[in-house]
Amino acid sequence: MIPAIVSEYRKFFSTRMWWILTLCMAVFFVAVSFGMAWLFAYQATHNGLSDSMLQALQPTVYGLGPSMGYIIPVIIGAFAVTSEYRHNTIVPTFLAEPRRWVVMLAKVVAGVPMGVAVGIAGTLACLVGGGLGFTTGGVDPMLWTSTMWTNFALSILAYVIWALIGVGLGMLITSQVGVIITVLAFTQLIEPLANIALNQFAGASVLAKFLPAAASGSVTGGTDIYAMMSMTGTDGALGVWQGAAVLAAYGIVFGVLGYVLRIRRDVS
Amino acid sequence: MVIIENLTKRYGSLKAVDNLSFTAKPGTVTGFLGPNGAGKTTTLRMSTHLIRPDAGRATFDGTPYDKLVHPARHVGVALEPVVFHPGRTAINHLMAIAPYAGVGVERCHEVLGLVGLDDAAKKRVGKFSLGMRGRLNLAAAMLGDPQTLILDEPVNGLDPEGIRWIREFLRDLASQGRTILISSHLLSEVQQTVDDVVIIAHGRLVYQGSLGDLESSANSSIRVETPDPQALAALAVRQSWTVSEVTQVSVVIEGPQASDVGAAAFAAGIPLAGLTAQSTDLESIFLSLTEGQGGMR
Ligand SMILES: Nc1ncnc2c1ncn2[C@@H]1O[C@H](COP(=O)(O)OP(=O)(O)O)[C@@H](O)[C@H]1O
Ligand SMILES: [Mg+2]
Repeated sequence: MIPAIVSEYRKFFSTRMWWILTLCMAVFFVAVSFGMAWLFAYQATHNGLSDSMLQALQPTVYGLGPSMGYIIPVIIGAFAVTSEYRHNTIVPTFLAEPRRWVVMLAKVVAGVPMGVAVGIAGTLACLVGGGLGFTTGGVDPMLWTSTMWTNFALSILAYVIWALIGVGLGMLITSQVGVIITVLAFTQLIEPLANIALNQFAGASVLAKFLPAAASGSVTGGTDIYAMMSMTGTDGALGVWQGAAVLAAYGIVFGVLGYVLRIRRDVS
Repeated sequence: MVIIENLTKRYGSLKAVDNLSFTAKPGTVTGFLGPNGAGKTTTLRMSTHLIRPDAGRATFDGTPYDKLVHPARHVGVALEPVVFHPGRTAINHLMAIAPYAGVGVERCHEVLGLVGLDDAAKKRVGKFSLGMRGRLNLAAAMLGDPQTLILDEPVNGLDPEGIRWIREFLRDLASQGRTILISSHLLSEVQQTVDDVVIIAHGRLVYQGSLGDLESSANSSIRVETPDPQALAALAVRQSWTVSEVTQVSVVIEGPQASDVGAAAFAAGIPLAGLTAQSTDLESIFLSLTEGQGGMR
């Protein structure tokens, strides 16, 4: 198991893809969180947004990364699998370790430090962008609160789980383009629509909190951004660890399905 | 020792590999031969558990590939087509496999030296020529200093100098007692490298044995020039030799040695003008074996 993990780790860091993506993500988050923070600050100072409302919104801005930009850790996690199928390096990999489940488990384990690295970059980006946005907008950024470190850690946890979901999706789809299209279609289209739709029906609205972004939002403690946009709010959001468990369940389902349907197949 | 037992793989109605069994012995280079599409790569992929056989199995010194603990330390494999991540440097490619082979960066540089790629260690593989990729593939297979080496079409795309180099490289490894199995669709390209040959056609074994036996198994024919071909042909029939051709001035006889023909003609008082032994070249033996349906064993 150890050789497989070391190998996966080396494979990941010997290509340029991961830091290019991470850098783009960080720049994007600084900009978005800055814009959002500034907007909320403006609402507070000019349009009478209450202090308590503002303070409820601030964690949303700082936790923007996992709930809005989870596509990045997903892509990076999926890349550990899809890149091997794209360049067919899965052949030397399986020659070196014919027990395929060992290879896949190693990709999951190696995905943790990758998720942490991406998570630190993404979370810092939101803290910097959001902090600057609130400050320039003329309100207290509330960065140095007692819960800040907890939020920081939880945000990184969410990134890690998203990276692992990515590994699972990569196993299921094995095509990088396929993963990107699936994730974009889901996060940008299906999930917001599903969120709105589910919240229209009293009985179904309990399900909305189990949607990935909502579960992710409950991990970071911030109110989920999509639920807010649907204006009804999620129906009693999940707790931190419940959210993490729901997310992890997505990853496990994708991974197990992927292993059974794709990974065990012949490679040529 | 590589033992292939009854390997079979079907693709739809096509039997890519059909109940194939053969062995490759330690201390020898075994040539695994057959025309394109004969089933060589499929056999090697089944042996290394990349694809699942419909029947049969392969063992390496008694152990199936997926039961080897750290296969890279026992069996070095380089398959067709050669695959690398184009953005990775040669040394990083090897370093990714190194943990499985249980080796460090020194050994990676060592095998690069072994295949003459010392200067290209830090170059991205995307910029490598075909020949360099072949060498890097070989270097990767050598990483764990394996006792068994399996190379799929290792001379494909190599220039004559590269073929000579790999020949000496493999001969040297075999002389150390290792088991070397190399595939090729051209017998002539590996003729001077291999000791034993395994020839397949349409997924089935058509010949297994030493290269020397294959050569002598060829029917050597003798062209005899004589002013009296009819008498000579009659003589040949009496000796129960096969006469394959009779012209105005010559007879082609199959079976006997040239000296036997000379002696018999002398005893029968038939004048001879010339005797030429015509041995079939290996490549035509190979072609007749793989094109015909019949097997030799
Ligand atoms: N994945 C596959 N699907 C269908 N047919 C295949 C597949 N792989 C190989 N074949 C067929 O099996 C036969 C043997 O192929 P291969 O083992 O590559 O031959 P060789 O390596 O001797 O050239 C060929 O007819 C080839 O077209
Ligand atoms: Mg082939």
